[in-house]
Amino acid sequence: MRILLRRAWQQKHPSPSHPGWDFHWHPVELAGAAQAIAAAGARADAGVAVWSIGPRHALWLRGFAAVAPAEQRRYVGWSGCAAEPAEADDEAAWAQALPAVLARFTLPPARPFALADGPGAPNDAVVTVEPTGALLDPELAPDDGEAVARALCAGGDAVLADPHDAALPAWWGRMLSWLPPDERVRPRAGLLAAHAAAAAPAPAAEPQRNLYHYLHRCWQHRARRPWRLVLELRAFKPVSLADLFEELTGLAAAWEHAADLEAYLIRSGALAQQEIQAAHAHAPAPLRGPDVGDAGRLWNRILHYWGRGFLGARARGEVAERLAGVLARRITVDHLLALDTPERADAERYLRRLRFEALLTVRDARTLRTALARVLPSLEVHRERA
Amino acid sequence: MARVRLFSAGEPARLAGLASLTAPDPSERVSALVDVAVVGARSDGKTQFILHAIRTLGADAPDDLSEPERNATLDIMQVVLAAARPRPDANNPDAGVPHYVFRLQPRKLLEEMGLLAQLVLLARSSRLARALAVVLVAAAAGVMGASLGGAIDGVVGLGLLWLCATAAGLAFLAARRRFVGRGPIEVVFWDVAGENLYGSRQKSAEYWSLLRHLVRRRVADARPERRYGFAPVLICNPLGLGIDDKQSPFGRLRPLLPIFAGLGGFEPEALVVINRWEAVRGLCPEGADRDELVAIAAEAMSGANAPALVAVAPTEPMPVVRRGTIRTCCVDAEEAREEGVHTTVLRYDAGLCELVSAPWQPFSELDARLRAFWAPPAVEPHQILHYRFAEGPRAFAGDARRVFLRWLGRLAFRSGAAAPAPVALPARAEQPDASAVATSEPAAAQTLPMFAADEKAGGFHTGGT
Repeated sequence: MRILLRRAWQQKHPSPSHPGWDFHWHPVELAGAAQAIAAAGARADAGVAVWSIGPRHALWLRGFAAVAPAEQRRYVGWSGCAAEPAEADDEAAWAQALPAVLARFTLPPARPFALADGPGAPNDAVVTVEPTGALLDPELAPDDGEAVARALCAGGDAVLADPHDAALPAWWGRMLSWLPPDERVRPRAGLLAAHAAAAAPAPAAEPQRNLYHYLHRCWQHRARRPWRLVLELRAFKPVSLADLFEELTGLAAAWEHAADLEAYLIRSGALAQQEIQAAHAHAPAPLRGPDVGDAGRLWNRILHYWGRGFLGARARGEVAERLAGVLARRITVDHLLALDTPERADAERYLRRLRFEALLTVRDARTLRTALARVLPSLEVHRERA
Repeated sequence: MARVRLFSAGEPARLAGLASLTAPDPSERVSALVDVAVVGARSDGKTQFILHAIRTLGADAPDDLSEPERNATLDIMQVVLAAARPRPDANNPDAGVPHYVFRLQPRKLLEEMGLLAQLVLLARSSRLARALAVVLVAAAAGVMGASLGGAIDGVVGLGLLWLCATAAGLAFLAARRRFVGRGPIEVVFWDVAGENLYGSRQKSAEYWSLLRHLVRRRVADARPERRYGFAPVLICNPLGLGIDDKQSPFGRLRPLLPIFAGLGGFEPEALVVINRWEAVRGLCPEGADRDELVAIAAEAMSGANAPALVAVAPTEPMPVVRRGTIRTCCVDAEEAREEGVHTTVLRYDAGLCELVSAPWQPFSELDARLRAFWAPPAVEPHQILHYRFAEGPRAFAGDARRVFLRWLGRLAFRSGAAAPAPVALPARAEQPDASAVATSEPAAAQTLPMFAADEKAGGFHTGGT
């Protein structure tokens, strides 16, 4: 993919583009710059960096302080890089190339434009970049990684030791490779500063907190396998990452008590009321009797009853797809939970339960595994522990 | 009482700045809200005017501002209270329009006014006119009754006069007390970057749109016990007036003032502020030729020894003004009603300054520092005026103080009538919803009931069964 790389400065000092002491861009205003600077708002200062990403642009600016001699007033200016597709490429190609695009950024010095920076046109370059794979090595995980994950996903402020580090755009690109391509290019902007804002940002809802928490955990542990499962789940049922984590959070909360799990399965459409009634009518024991003490036992019984046809024999294949969807979410949650307590976690326990505790025939177990593999293809392929 | 966020859905205009705006809780005693939009070209002294205004108001900011507003207030207070060098940073045109919220206590307003101005203000705001009319009608009835009965003489006349004076005095004191009891006037200063109005950026339509959204939203909330006023302040920097006042930034913005003032609705008000008044006096000495041209070499005293960081040789010529232009725009300007807008004129000097006039010498012989800032002037001047200034932590004083406070009072209580008719806007609930309330405390984190309240960190918390 061919992209146009631009370097530019916003300053009050005169430049070849403007002779006076007004704020102006040299050589031209960069795409997304106004959005990024407005997002920085009152926190815009010399020590910070701002970024902005959209379906047709990526931008990185570093702030600098200078004094306009004509007024003897201090001001905060910006210098940085932006990229946009050189041709009318589609959004998907731009999203795939974004990490490589950011890796090509060569930030100009954080100071007003000087003649040594080139007369203008040489600051533009058309280069070819190749799409990169997903889940690139994050290399380093910042201390406040959840805030970085939040900024990466939703924009806003994050704290980094050196916001002016020239390697940050490339690093940001590697982090972006952990997001689904369409979410990489969702329009957003943010600010990177060495110190947190006086007030903490409004706390996110629990599903969002979980999203940022586990994205950070995956970076910390270089754990590609759990996050690959997340991306596959999201690709199977196209929803935003935030919505997906809402589902996962709901599932995790419901998987303690049998009654909660039954309510969750009905609410999420995994089981219909008629199927539960069918189980009551035909099965030797009710689906949720006194001997089903917790959600795990209920899940085993549901799989068992499905295998024996007690949930309705005519649509076994369709029910298998729905149950495999729930199982995929459960296994993904277990993989993520294993990042919190790696020493005592068992991320694949529900695969074993499927095999040993649900008392399914080999053929039924294989049917569910096949349906599961359609949702999480890497579950069978990448057996290595992350 | 929490302040209410007025634009909880985000920025309504392309130019950012409204999303962080909050207003006092509807139940709080605030007699009026006033938005002051400061308009002018780059470096004309807009923020400097705001600093003077804030000091004049006593830097009285509300305690419960939202976080962005509190940060902006703290930032501007750093400059307001910087005794040694109160020089504000230049506003970046892309960073949105900052606003600063301060309050004017009614007692302070009354104490700073003369008796006549107080009477006018109270007549507008606290039904003093009605009370005085009742006294006059009662007095007239008394005189008529006495004359019909043939009983009027000097003693009765004096008695009636005493009664009228006492009644009027009591009415005045009652109105004053009522006015003080209604609460402070909240004044919000809007400080746009000069480039957004006049200069390289030209985003004035976006600024106008921002102000239009602001005024519409405020008017929808206005009510008789909490009036609303809006007015633009146009800064006239005499050093930037040039040779032809019609071609200067001030001359070009001046005809647009009624459009900005008109946003405020009925009885539009505007304030023209002439700063650097000492420079005006230096440029217009008695008996000077009106057509004489004077080059201006303005520089801050503290920056005299600062190294000039100039990447490219400037091509902006050294400013030259015509004495007659300064006289017309600055000396002869006076309070007037033009195009339906009542315009008040305020003159002040922003700091301490030194003025030295000298005959013009060739540009190449000027100090190197001046040549680093400017290109040679476009026309050959007769004189050069070295205007060296130092900012000081000053407030408006003397006439400027009286004019400013009287103007604010007039803006807040322009008419004795009720608030202007509300503009049709999406209705705002009497009790704002929780998301629209800007509290200084963050909202409680959502915690699933099965977890302890302190488990607010990320993570599913449970492995399930």
